[in-house]
Amino acid sequence: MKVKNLKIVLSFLFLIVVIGLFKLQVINYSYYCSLSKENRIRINPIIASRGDIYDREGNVLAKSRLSFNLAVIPQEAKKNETLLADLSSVVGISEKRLRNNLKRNTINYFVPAVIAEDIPRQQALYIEENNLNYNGAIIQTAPLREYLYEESLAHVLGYVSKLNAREYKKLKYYGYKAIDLVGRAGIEKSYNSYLKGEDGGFQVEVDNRGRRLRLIGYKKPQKGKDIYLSIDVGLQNYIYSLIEKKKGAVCVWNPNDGKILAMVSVPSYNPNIFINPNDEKNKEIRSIFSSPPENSPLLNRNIQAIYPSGSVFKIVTVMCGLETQAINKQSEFNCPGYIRLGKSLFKCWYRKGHGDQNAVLALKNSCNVFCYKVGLKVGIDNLSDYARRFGYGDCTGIDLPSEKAGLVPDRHWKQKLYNERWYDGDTVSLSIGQGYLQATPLQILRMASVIANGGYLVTPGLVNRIEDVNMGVGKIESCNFKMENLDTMGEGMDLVVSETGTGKRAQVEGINIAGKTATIQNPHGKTHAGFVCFFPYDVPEHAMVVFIEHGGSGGYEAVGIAQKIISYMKEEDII
Amino acid sequence: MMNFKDKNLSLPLTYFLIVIVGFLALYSASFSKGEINNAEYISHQLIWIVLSLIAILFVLIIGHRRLLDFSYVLYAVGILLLIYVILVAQPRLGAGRWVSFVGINIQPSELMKLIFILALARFLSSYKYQENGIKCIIVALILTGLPVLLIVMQPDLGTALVFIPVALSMLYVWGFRLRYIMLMFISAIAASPLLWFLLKDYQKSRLMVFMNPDADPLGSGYTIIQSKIAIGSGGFFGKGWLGGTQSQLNFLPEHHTDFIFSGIGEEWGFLGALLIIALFYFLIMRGLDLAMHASNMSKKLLATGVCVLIAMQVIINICMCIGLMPVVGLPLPYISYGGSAMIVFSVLIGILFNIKFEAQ
Repeated sequence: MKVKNLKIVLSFLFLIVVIGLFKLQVINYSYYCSLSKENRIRINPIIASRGDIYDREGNVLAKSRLSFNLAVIPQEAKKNETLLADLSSVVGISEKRLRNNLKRNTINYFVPAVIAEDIPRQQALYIEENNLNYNGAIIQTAPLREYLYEESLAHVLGYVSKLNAREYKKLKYYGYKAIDLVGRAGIEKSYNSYLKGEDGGFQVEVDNRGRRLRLIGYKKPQKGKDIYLSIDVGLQNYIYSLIEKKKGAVCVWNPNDGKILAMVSVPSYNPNIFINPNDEKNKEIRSIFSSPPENSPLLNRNIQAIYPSGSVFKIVTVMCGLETQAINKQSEFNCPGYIRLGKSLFKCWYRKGHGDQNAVLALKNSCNVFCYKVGLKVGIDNLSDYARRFGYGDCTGIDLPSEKAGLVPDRHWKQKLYNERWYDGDTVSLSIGQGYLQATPLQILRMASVIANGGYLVTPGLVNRIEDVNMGVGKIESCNFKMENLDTMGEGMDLVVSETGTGKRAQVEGINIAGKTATIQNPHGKTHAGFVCFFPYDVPEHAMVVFIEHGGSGGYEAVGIAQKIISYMKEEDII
Repeated sequence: MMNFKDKNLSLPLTYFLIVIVGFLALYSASFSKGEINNAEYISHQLIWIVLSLIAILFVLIIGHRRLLDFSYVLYAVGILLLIYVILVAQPRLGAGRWVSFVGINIQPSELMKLIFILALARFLSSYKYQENGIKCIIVALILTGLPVLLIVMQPDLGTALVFIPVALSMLYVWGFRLRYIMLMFISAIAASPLLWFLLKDYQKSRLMVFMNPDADPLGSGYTIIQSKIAIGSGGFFGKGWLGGTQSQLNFLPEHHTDFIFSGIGEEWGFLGALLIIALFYFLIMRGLDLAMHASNMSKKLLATGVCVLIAMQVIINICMCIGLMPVVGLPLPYISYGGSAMIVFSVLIGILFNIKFEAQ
């Protein structure tokens, strides 16, 4: 009887064992089967190199070079206590550091984790040759980004860096790996999906120590697509060397299709510091990220910095007067040096007054009073409408990330923001590009190009072609301006760069230049200098904006820099 | 004397089947990447099997009664060996469990399983529960407690724990009331937290890992995870003999010894594993039949002790492999590689054969 009870108890225990076994082997079979495959089948990735970036002439701007990474199999490092110490003495990185890297980069106990990146070739070969002493260590090759022109092209090209943990979580379902590089700014960011290659790899059967037993499959890595920019690297570097020590932005393009020849923003940064950061580089990166936003080297001032437009806005005001027929080409206003509006006095920059001015002369002399009067005559509604037609207040649509839209003020906007009605004084300020108006240098260039190309808003673009596929030209929209009015404006701008004009310092022998200077009042110090121009005047092929912070009134510094750039372009046969 | 006529051979046949299946499993476990690279495992195990058969013959010839006569002396020797192990022996695999005797490493704790069953059976069968109940139980508890304590101190928790159900079953069959056994069982469980303080770090980590194997998947949790992957990926029909990737590619540690069942589960699938379990189950049930129909108390107690010991080792070992129990380091009888366990369990089965043949 008692033995029988014992039998029942033991039978019950055996039943539990069988049920447990059934659950493991029959119910959860597929789960464990996949785990066993994961154990045994490993994919050794071959990282595809990123597409190269070239300028318009085919000069390399950014390329991938081969680098050697030291990786270890985490399981082996665990078994072989001295492995990391041994490797540390070869690569000269502290063991603690290697251990931290190992911890951070471990995905799976059998998948090699990179512990030192971009080690010198000699060290890599030494470790490969003495493989038996470093069991579990693996040398992997990986393409590494290299920017050949460092600071000069930083804002155009941007930079790449590895995914962070949060991004990896989001992107892993799209085939990204933790070690993948993504574009963080510039062309690298906006064309990331083209530049990014498709990784290949070996699928191998391995044993518990990660040793290859048998090749199961192979997929060839596919290099990313090469991108050819419209940039002229010689011009770009020249411009950078001119303004390196200043703060500001210069952009040169073709006013007819918006293809950018040069785009420089200073202060700049060296994008190579983001590639395989070490202590020194990290310090630089930290200092870049900790600088106040208005001084940040990461800021592309061409498209991300907004300023009051200054006197270049007079083009909009005068054009608005002509188009709405508030004035015609012959209409004259007298400039006594100021106008009185209620109790306030609005001065012209030329205290003595310009005397009688028509549209052409007002542009040439940058007469404030003429523009005040035109502005008051057309009214704020027309003025803001024309500012928008010239592309103010809206992104230019350039193929770079994080462009700013700027601001065109109007009645509604002011009511909403300040709960105040629009005053005539506001109109007067706006008519010379001061007050609430905010625009990026590129928007100003785009506005001036409307005069140059016969009334069209172009979409800026940096890319000529991707591999063999031509990018074409961005959207070109007609502003529906009258040709004769455009010609009047051109005439005025042409006179700006003449012996008696405000921009005479921009003159270059043999080239007829049309332009407009700008003084941008700056509440924090010396005025900013701006200059926008196009040339040759008769058949405009190039347009340029120069914007120098604290560059003095009347566009002083900007005009001088523009002159040098145009001379260079002439010398180099770019014009 | 022995009577070989008209004998029912189901018990020895089951035993031989288990040994053969076990040898095949070990053979496969000695394979790695398509070739034998642990030939000594195979040859050693063959020697153990031959020695086991000699041991069984020896038991059949001298009879279990002679063994019972010597049981107290053996008990004393066993206890001394256990003390010797604690005091002198070199730690091997984290715990000192071995004694070297004329060049052969033996594990006294394995030996003690046999001796303890003999001693307890002899002691209990000399008294009647109705007459000397309390006194006998106290002595029986001391007989059990002494080796358990010494083995815990080695430390070898798994082996120590297996003594307890064996002792309780024998007491129960002897006449001890179920309610007292339950009471002792409950108080043992209640006292188990105290045991925590006696455990070595590696034992604590094993227990923690049992609760959550993914906490340290490369370290202590590694074995249990790999074992579950091996068995689970075997599926219903298995990956075929010599076809297990987990064990063949060395992902599974200790796949010759404590985790040999994982290799069986992987290569032979649920069907193969079920066959092994069925063989053991049949062996144990036939053995308990002997206990049921035994002509005297000593045979009844011996058969019970032997069967419960084998059953507990099989159950605990498989539960460990499939992750239902913490890793305690108990071999699978007749299958795991290792001489001490092989010979001890063969002597035990020899005792069963002897009881059976005498009954016929």
